Amino acid sequence: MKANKMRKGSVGIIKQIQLPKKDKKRLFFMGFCEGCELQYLKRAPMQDPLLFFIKGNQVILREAIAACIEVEVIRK
Amino acid sequence: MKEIKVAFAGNPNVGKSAWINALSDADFQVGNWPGVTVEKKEATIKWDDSMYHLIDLPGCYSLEDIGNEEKITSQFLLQEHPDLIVNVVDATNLSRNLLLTLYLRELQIPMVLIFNFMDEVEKQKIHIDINKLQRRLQIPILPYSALDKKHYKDVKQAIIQMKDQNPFYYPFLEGEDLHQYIALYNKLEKAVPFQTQYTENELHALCMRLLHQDELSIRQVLSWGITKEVLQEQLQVFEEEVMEQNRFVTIASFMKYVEQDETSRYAKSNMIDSVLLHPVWGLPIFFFLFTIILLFVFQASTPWNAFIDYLINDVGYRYLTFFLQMFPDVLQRLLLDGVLSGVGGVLVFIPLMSFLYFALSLLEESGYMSRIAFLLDRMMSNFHLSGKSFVSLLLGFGCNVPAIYATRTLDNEKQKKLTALLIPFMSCGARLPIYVLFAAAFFPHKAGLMIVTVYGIGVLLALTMAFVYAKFANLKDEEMFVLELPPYRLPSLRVVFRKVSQEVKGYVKKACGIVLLAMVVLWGFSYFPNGDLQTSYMSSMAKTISPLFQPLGFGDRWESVASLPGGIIAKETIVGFFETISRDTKNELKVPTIEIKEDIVQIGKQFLDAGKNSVLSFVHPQLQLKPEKDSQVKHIQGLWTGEKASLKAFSFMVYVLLSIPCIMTLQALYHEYGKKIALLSITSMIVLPYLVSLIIYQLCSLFY
Repeated sequence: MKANKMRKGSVGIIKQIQLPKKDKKRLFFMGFCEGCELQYLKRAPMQDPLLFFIKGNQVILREAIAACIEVEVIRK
Repeated sequence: MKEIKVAFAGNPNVGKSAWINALSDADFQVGNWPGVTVEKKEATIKWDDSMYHLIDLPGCYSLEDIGNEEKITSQFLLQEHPDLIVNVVDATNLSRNLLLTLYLRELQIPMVLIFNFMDEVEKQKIHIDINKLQRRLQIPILPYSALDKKHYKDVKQAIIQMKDQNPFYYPFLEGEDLHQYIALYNKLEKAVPFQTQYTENELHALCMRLLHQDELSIRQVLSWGITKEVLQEQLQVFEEEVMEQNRFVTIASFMKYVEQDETSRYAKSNMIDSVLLHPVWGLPIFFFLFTIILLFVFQASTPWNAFIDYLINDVGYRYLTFFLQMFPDVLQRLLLDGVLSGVGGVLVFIPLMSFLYFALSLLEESGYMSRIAFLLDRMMSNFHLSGKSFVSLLLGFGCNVPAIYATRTLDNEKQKKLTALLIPFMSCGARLPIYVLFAAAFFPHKAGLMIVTVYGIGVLLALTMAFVYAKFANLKDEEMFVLELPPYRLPSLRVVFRKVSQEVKGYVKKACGIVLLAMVVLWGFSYFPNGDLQTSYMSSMAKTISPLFQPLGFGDRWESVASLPGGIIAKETIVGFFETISRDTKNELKVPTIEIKEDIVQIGKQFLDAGKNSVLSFVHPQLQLKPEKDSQVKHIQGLWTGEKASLKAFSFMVYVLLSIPCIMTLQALYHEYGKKIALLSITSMIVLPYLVSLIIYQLCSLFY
């Protein structure tokens, strides 16, 4: 499942991040790594961007970027 | 005296500046890092017999080449050879913060770790085994909060002690990796050219950089005679992925010493955000809060502006005139109308700037600023802007100058520049009296509508120009948008006030030079050759070039053209110009009488009044939508008569809206973003008003 399609509050494991190397690295340093737990929290009032919880931090991503992150949901 | 460089490094929002503020109380320099618009702060302080330079490095997450902040930090650390790194860490979020610590450690520069926010660590019941952690890292850990005064001297002591030591930080490698590392080190040790002096630590640092495939280091080693093949063979064990994985394994092993419930960090923030980021109420609440901020910044600061204006243009003017009596008229005029009003022009902004920086610091320190980016990103991303641009742009309606300074809160260089370029299109408060006057004179029954139309034209053009600048000035933001929402924190007033005073000091220092020069030049044009405005170079030039403005409608009166250069000093002077030009007699300098006692009493009175009015105008905001004097309106009405009079007036209003920003705005643009951006703004604001007024006048003429 893509990270932008997750249900509110659900937790998933990141399987793959399909982004150019530089962007992947930036996400990596914010805590997004393959095998890490990612929780989807909510959308902004205007539907984009999205708010995630990862490694003890809340991080904002735009929908288009979240769509490049493949997750496997483990908790709903 | 010995000079010691202490670099403060850490993730964004961990309180580096707060710590530098806490340790030093004076001599703060604020500037930009070369070539980029990232703020550079440096404090100088004398401890014992040495001068310590505390340098605030931009917040970053690693030292890899992925953004401006990372680039500046790693360049500074590698090239400037600081004596010591103080790594400030958010102790409530070690798993991510310690990643940067690992990068810094590899540089083999003596380090001190500050675990900031320890008060919150206690509140959230996080348990950290500091002793074990500091032994593993080999770095002394100072678990103090920047708000806690009593530990400042401990940190100072730690810095003084650590700078003389030369520790070696072992690489976190295990098993086969460690063997390979030692082999590589030995090879390098043998290959070091005889004449270059490498200490053991420097060699280790080089070794670590090689493991991470650092281009510069590889080139250096190749120049020592080690062949590419040999080096590749040594390095291939350390693949990038392996090294990255290695860092995560290391950090995971540190987290054994930390007991923490991950959800507690945001527990309070989540409660606040369930209201402030509510899907329905989030936006209305933002607009409500923002209205209060606008009122605070613009209304509550106005009486103080008036007070400073009184000090300079009333008291200062009188005293200066009194003491200058014996000098020739030119010199008197130069000092009074050029220099004094230039200084006044800069100083009058101090209250506004202080109120603005106070509001901005509160927004930033509390963590709400990042929430604004979250709330408004969707709307602004269409125009290559970020949610935070919205704050700057709205501030622009009050005054363009603080709005441009506010762009500093944005996260990305191109967005900062683009937002700053769009701000002059936001019609500021100083342009309003001009519209009010002209609308009252030519559109007596629909003045409000016409004024709103002018504002609307500005906004529309700003949105259009966003695309133009993005495309043709290479300001399209291509960096991926990713932003951390820090937990809400109660801002410390001490930190906020410090920040305000530093920023305001920096502003005055930088603004005075450019503004004074421009004021003196403009004064010269309006004074010479005869000493009065009507026959000055400015007026005669306006007469010569006014035919150029014929196609725009208002060019048939040279006065309207001549009023425009004055707008560069400050937009409101355009109104004053029409008044001055209508006077027949020359404005003679009268020698004022001075009564020091009386003046002191008066200054005190004005000061108290300003305080009172500041509170009153915040509670009861007022907007001046009627011209002050009827005689002014009559005079303006006389400018144009005939059927197209109102169209000519409207064309003039639009021209004023878009004409070159005032000198204070230009200096803010120049000071924050350099010559190129300032020139781009000037060019646009010469071409655009002409084009737009031309189109409006010619199109509307067809239907008249």
